[in-house]
Amino acid sequence: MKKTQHVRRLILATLLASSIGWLGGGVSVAGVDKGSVNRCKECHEKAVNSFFVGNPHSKAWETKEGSFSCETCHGPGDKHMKDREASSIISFNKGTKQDAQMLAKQCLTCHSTQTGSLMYWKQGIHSRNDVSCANCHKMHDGQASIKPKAETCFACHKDVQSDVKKFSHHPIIEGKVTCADCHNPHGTLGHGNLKADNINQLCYKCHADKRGPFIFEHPPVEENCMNCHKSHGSQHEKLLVRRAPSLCQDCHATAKGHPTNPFDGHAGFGGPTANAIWKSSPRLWGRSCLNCHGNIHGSNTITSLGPVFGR
Amino acid sequence: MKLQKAIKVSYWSVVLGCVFLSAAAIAEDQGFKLGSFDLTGGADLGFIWVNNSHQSAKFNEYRDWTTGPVLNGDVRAVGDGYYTGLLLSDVARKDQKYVVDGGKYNAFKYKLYFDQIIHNLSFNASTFYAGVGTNNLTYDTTAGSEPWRTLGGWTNGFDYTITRKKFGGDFSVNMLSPFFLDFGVNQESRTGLRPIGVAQGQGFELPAPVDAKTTMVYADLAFRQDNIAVSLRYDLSSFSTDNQYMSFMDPVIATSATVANNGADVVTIAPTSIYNRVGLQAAIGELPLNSSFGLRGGMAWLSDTIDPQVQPLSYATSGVTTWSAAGNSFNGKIGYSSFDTSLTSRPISDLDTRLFFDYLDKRNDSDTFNYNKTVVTAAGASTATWYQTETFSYRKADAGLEAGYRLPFSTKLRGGYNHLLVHRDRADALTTNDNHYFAKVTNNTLDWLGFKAKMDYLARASDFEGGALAPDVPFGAYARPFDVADKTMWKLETGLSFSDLVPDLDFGVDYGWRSNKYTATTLGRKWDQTNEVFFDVGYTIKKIRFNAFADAEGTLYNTTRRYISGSITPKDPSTPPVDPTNSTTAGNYAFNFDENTNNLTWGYGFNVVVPVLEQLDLVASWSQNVSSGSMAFNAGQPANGVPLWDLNNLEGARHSLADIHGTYRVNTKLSATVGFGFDQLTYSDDAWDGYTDRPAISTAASPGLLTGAGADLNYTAQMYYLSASYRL
Repeated sequence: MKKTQHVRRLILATLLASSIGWLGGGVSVAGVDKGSVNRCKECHEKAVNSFFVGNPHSKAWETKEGSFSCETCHGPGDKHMKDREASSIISFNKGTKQDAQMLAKQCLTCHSTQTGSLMYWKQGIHSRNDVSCANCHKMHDGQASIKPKAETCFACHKDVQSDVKKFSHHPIIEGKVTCADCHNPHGTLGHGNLKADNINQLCYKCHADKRGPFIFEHPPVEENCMNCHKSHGSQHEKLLVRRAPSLCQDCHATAKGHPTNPFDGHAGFGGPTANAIWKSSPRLWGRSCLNCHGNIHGSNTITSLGPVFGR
Repeated sequence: MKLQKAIKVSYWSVVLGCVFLSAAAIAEDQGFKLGSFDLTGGADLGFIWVNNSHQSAKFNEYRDWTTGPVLNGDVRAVGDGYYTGLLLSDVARKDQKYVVDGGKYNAFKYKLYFDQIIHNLSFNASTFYAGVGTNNLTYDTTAGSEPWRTLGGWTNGFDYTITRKKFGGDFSVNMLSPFFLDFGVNQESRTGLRPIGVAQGQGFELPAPVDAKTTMVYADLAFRQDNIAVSLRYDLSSFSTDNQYMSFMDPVIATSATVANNGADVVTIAPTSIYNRVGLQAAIGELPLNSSFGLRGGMAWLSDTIDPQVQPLSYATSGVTTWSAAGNSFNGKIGYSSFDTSLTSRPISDLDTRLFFDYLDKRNDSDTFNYNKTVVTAAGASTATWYQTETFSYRKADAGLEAGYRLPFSTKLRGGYNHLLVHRDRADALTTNDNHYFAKVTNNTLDWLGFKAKMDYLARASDFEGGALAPDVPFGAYARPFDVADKTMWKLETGLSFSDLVPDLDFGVDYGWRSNKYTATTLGRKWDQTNEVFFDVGYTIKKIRFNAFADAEGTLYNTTRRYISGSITPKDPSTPPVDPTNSTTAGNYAFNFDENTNNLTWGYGFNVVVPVLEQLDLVASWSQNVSSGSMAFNAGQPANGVPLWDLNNLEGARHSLADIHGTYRVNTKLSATVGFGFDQLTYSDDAWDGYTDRPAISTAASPGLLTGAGADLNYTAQMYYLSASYRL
């Protein structure tokens, strides 16, 4: 116990020391054209100040060869300084009607090579739907604002915002799973901006116990997790698209016996237990089908019920 | 134990709080600079009192809101081209997270992290088994033939909880441009208990141990320059567990007079496996017609080598069944090959196009082997039947094109078509063809109004091997699984967003509708329909900021199934009791019935921020999320004159959240917050009401034995909290 405590103290102390200890040397190379910046500051003091205080872009420019200023992103400002019109400069403001791909190109000038996740920006669904970088990123604020949170995505994806608040959900609103854990908002080649070759391989990253290989497979499970689950949230337990037993019975209507039977109002815990066609049944109450079929993702036990996941 | 934990939490919180506040004080003395580095960040140190009327796991499903100190903090230093940061979140709590990151601009960066995720499933479960938490559940065999009754104490209480602890690091090297290297490693451990059901009569729930590790390694070497980017990536994921199976004493077998194996039984928990993937990514830009080309290929292998477990015996009143497998090991081998490519163009400024092709091949090359079933009847006659395991493979090819065209008045049209072809090594749907079309229009010509509308149409057709399946699948000619059934789908999404219609007022409304009709299904899901609407508003008046939302989603399902009494044994699909066109047989031993399900969820909430004084903000919020469901049965002639009863209360949940707090800013850096929160869930469901872990239908041959999993949902909790926050 004491040893564990020592190790934890050591780790935390190291982390703290490394954070502070990193504040060491380095050579400052001024890459900012202060004259140009100061001209913009005459009217946009707040924006300029915030940019040069906590924004990593300005810090990165300090060490990069070349000359950087507001015009690096916003384009030549001479005309804008004369007519003061937003349309005469590259504007990322809310409500801008400038071409989204042109706006994105400003950012991609540096980030297309520096940032691997942007490799497929032009192929991605956001780009195709005229979403540009500034729709999600606040370029003038600090580090925390540059990295979008789930609320940023919810601004457009209202259905997802609704789903994550439902009875059963991934811990997104709790902050333990982020949108970017599963999606690359900058674009991928497949559907849904997924960070994997297909849905199942994405889910298996966290749910490796479900990936098998199994002796007895459940084909709809192997083909697409989304056949039975919703990824963000659901009113049904385990993020199911529909509650059991109805979800199971929507496919298992091919055998005589309990898969096709109606599990109705008689089948609850308080239902009749004898002398009735319809009675209390584990196929409805509690966890329903899962009361018996605990390995619906696959099983390696050979049994009388092997192919139907009874073991 | 709880006291010890509380002391530990307090200790760490205080120590780290002091560290942060000291660092903040130092930073202030030096004008938030340390040497040539700018220092930003802060710390929040507080205390929360939680009064939870019912210790429901659902209240803390993914969090750790228990009485005690709360500490969060972050610090970031930037200067001379370097940066580094430290994030502490929920220090010493069960959902704690720590991140250290840093690097040098345009040269390299790194991130080290530890993240703990708690998933509370159910508290205060119980069982008559000993050995909970291990992979061997036993009970006192002297307890008699029905241990679930004689071991009435059920004192072996436990919580269904899974704790994930993930730590690792990510590293990127940019200094070798145009070559770039990313690599990382992480390991996630999972420990705890989850419920697992095994088939044994009327439901048999067991606590299964979760004790597994997933280790992941990746490396990505890229070349990126001008308009060309190419990268080669390798991923490794190793999943290991000591609990691939769980043994348990099966009281039903053990109590059989004809069986003398002490009731040993076994269930699969999770197989150990290794996953390897190699991927190639490429993108080329600035091609003719202002085109860009993307390509991604991946090959992955998933494998395991295990000893399949054989359920020793299964027992029925008619005799005893034994199983045996030919071969003692199973070599699991699954391969994924994928290939995605996309060509986007913008030949003229108002037109953009995309052509794409995606291909996925999942091959299951795992061992297949024979296993047999031998039935020994009470009279001693023996019959053996041989079976062979099956493997499931499939291939998907998706090709399509789409185009967008910009019209005057900030209007854009977009449309597209894609064809998805799926081949499966599966008996009930060999191929599926999807033809999918969509059209979309957006308009933003007015500064204060945005409009969008999108329509999708999908036509799906599958080949069901002629319809008639094996004789022991009596409904094969009529039933269709909904995931592959022929269908037509229409979907409409539309929305309006208003911005500054009056100063500082934004609001939006979105509506969606989806309809599926399963056109070739006689038995199974026939149709479903979903309507959803979302509304949100934000308004600022006299520095009072108000936000509100409301949403609702309703889904209807219609399913037709056919009941056949167990007293008749139809095998041939042409036999009248099986054929659903013979709606009802004499004596009501077979009849069709409809199941109509109505699911509804809705929610609303608001948040208001009132600056009472220059230094004091009051914040109040309230939200409710409600769900309900019902299921109506419509049967032509119920069996033996007993009508089916509707289920009128399914998933009746009401989740209410309230919070009110005030924040007083002592100065621009220091603030204090005091608040009160309320969190309540009420849940009622015809399938859960009256829950008992030993349902009344229990008999020796057919027990219903539960442990309490999922039965403790209701709670009412009040939280009181205060905190001090210091920001640099």
